[in-house]
Amino acid sequence: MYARRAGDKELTFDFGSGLIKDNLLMVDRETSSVWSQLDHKAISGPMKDTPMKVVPSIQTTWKFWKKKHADTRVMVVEGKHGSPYRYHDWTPGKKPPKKRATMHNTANLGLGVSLGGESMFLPFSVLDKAELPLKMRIGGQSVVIHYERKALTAWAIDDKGKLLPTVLAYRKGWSNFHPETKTYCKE
Amino acid sequence: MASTFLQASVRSRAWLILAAFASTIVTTTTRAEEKATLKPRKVKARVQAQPGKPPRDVDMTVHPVAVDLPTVSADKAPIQDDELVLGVVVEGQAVAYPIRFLAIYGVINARVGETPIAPSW
Repeated sequence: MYARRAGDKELTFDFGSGLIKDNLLMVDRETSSVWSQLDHKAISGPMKDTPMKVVPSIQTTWKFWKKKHADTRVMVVEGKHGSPYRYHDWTPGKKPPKKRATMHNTANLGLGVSLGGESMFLPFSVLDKAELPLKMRIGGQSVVIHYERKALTAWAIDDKGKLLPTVLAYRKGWSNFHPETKTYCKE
Repeated sequence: MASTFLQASVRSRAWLILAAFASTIVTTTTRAEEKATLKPRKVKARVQAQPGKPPRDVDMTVHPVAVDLPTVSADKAPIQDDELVLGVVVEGQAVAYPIRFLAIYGVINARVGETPIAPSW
């Protein structure tokens, strides 16, 4: 989730049919600059190297979100329904599910946190066994990690309770953008 | 991201979204006054044409994306409890963006209060 502002300029993003590090691209309508999501900046065009501000958000189930935010609004697309996106809980060794575009296995899913120049990947498989909430320091900053297995979600807050920008990602995808990442291992 | 955000076997998901998007161009959902003018355009960029391939200089097709899609209250939401959403709280207002819709466009131009945001998948 990103702010659509660069300085005092409001941007309108369009979908670029290309990839960078296997991740989707955006192109702003105003300058046709190309923006890389997980690089958090424009990578070409008149706004090259302009940073993109991340707006902290949480990816979770609808059930979990509406329980926390009873007054939530929900975006809809008139005339289109799409296909429900769900996680399929599959672990190595078991018979894999029938492959479907809207299902993803969670074996390598985790929370990616990048703060103060330090990147940390916290696998769900490790958070399953961790004492929660998990307190740690990343990039010199105190961070508290929350994890809800049933809602297949995790998030991080700072010492003032403010939501921090994080990404739910598979290990490989996170490493594409953070090759120097550390991986949390419960001792 | 995301997003934003970053899921899946990234290559297979990215390829599926590219293929799906190419067949669901969004002109039917952009604002009426923009319909006549918004068309896919070409932008020169150095990007991957497919997952796993090295980046190269291409004329990348850029598809216009919806702006300011409507929202409804939770009780009217046409989604199921176990579906994934991207949730955000901006200016004190919580908004959920169902992944089923984000997956159609890759990115949405949204606004919460006075704050313009781009939920992406």
